[in-house]
Amino acid sequence: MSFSPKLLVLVGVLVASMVFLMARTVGGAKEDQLYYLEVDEFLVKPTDNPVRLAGFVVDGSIGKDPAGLAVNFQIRGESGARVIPVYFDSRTAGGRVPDTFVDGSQVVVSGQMGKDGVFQAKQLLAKCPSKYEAADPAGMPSRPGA
Amino acid sequence: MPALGQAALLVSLIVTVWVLFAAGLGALTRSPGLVRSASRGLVASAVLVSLSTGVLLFAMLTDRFEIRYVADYSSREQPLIYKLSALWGGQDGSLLLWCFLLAVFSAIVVFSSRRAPQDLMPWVYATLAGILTFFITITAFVANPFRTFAAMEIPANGQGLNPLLQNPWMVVHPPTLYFGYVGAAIPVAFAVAALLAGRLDNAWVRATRRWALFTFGFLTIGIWLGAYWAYLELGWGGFWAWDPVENASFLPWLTLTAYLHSVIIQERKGVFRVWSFVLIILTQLLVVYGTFITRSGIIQSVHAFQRSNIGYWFMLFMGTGAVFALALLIRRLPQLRAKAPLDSFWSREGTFLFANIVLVGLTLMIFILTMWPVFSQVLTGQQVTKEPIEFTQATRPFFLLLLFLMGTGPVIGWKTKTGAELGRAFLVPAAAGIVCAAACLAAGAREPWSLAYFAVSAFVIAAVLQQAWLDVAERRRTTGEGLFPAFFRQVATHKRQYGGFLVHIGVAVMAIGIAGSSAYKKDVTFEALAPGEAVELDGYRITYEGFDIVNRPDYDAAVIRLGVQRPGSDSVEHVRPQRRVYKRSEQPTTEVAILPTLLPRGLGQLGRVGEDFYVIAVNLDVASGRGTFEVIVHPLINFLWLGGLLVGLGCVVSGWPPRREEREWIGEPAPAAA
Repeated sequence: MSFSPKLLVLVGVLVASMVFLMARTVGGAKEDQLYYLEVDEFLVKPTDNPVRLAGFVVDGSIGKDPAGLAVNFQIRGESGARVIPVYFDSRTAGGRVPDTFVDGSQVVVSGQMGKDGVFQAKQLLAKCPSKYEAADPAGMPSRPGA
Repeated sequence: MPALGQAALLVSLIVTVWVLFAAGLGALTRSPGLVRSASRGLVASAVLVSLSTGVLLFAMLTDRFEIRYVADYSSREQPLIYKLSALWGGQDGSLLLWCFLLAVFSAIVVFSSRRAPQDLMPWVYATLAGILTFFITITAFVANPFRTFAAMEIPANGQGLNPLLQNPWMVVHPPTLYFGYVGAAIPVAFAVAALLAGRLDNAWVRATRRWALFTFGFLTIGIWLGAYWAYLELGWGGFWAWDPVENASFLPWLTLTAYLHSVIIQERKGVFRVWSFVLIILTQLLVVYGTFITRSGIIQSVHAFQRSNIGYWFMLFMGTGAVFALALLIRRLPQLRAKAPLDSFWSREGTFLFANIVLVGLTLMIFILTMWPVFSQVLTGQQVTKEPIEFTQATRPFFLLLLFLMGTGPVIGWKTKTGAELGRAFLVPAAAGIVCAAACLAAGAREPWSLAYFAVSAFVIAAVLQQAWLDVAERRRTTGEGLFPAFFRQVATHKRQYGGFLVHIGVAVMAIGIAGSSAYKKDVTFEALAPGEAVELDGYRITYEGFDIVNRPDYDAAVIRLGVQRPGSDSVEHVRPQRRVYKRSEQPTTEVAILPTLLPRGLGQLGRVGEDFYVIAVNLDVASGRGTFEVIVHPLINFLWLGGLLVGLGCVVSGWPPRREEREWIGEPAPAAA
């Protein structure tokens, strides 16, 4: 198929704008990137930058405030040798404490390490600890697609 | 009994391998006997796979816990409907369901083959048998749902289905989506057959037009059901989060949409033929990619599907399929080149070309962002994940452009128009968009993206309605019919076009719901309210009246009693959100309560049409009776649900079988879809 030059320019502009927006989304400054780390990786190379941290809730470590809106707990990696204390308050952060957040849950917390050595989570995602296949996306950011 | 299910599966595998061989050889040697044998083989394998599926279903309904899969996903006290849906509650049963649907669809293709282009059929059978062989092999050997416990280990009761999946919407969501996923295989088989047989005209497109619509309809409704389930059951107040698993279902939808438009141009103008082949093959690859994503665990998803190595089998299948299809396409490329030039954006082909580019571009963008954890790991050694808001920001200008094109297509029409004619045609729709934006501004809407989406949606709806109005007026001039008879006859004789119109209106209505609820959602958590306490949000007055404890065989629940007064209303309505704990799994779940506003209560309340008042019981301290509730006001959200239904209805209209006198046309050039 042959295109007229005018049409080619239009197509070019469209494709270029898509490439531009993609580049802006995946590129960006290094410190703006949200790295995804396992707990054990983080313990080897700690950082103060915001990260997503994946691990498991240490059994018996969950403490909730009376309203059930804030939790402190510890997460461990696969080995479970060392743990990181985490604090999540749904009043200031996004979302809620998900129903699937219980002892042993697989969790992903986004946030950064505080000066006091407690990881301040802005987001808390949890999967069921059991073999159930579909987990609860509760606690996901609550402003999806427009 | 499990042995019977497994045996039927194995025999069906032998049969499909025979079909693959017989159909391929039959096509090459032009031997009708072999082809007939292949077609019978496809029907036989449908019977066998159905038997196998029936065995698993029967085992599910009769609590045969010696089968591991049954023990994993069902339990004695599980309600009957969830024993049924447990069939597709897990990976192994889902794959068996997939085989079942594909085998049955293939048999339908055989039975309806008399009207299909005969020179394609051997290759169609071969392709379907190839895909079927892959799926049955995986089900029989890698993810077998008929594995049993040793006699000593048979549990007395099963684990039970995940409580989150014990929801009526979750009963229908997976099979609906599978109908779409599996249905895509039929047009793909015809496309591959056309390339293999070298019959590159429109025959394969016409033969599968209804299959493609069927697939599109089920895919749309399947995704819609998933969003609705998430909204109702998960209690996070959202419906879409750009999660990898969600994206995996959306990507084939995008390419299939492009395909459906591409073939319209192909049939009318003989161009876009390469696009059609590429798009339908891409759709099939993305369906397989979706299974790969969900099962391989390669990307972190909140949908914690059981991880297994079948993901890599799917990758292998996808890779082989892609290479094979690409080689075929390259071989035929010289014969597929279009000669007609394309000069103007302001032509039907021009807008459709743009729509295709935007759809494929969006597919690529969402694909790259979804896979970014993998790509960034390869590129930088660090895994970087992309947040939902980044997906939204990157894609929303192009979804807006796409929406705009949905209005320009119907306005431009097939005939070449002069500049002045175009200006007149665009006058009313453009005015509708501007008036809509102004009205929303006056009503207090300020978020720029939502205003743009409202305006363009109004433009699309007005454009479609204007075109329908003009068509009907034209018809009345020539036939002298009344308004309604003219409208219904116009629709009846142009089902394809008017089904498409309805789909466009449906998508525009959905866009209003998505843009409105995302931009103007109000979300407040009221902490530790004592019984009798009252609070307010956005004009709603909420009184916490107390709670009741309810014990059921499978769960215990705290049922919260809330009295709600709608804005400007004195009457109190009651909603009852719950917190449940399922006994078998000790899993707490939240049952949200929703109070929708479907009709306005006076002009001042017009902005509340389609609004949901949505309450989540976050926490309840049984001792003190204090409850914590998250209250969300979702403006316009019901437009999203309504729009999805319109899209589904549009597919039905568009694919409705022609009347007898029109059937003559099948096999001839398709009737005009102006």
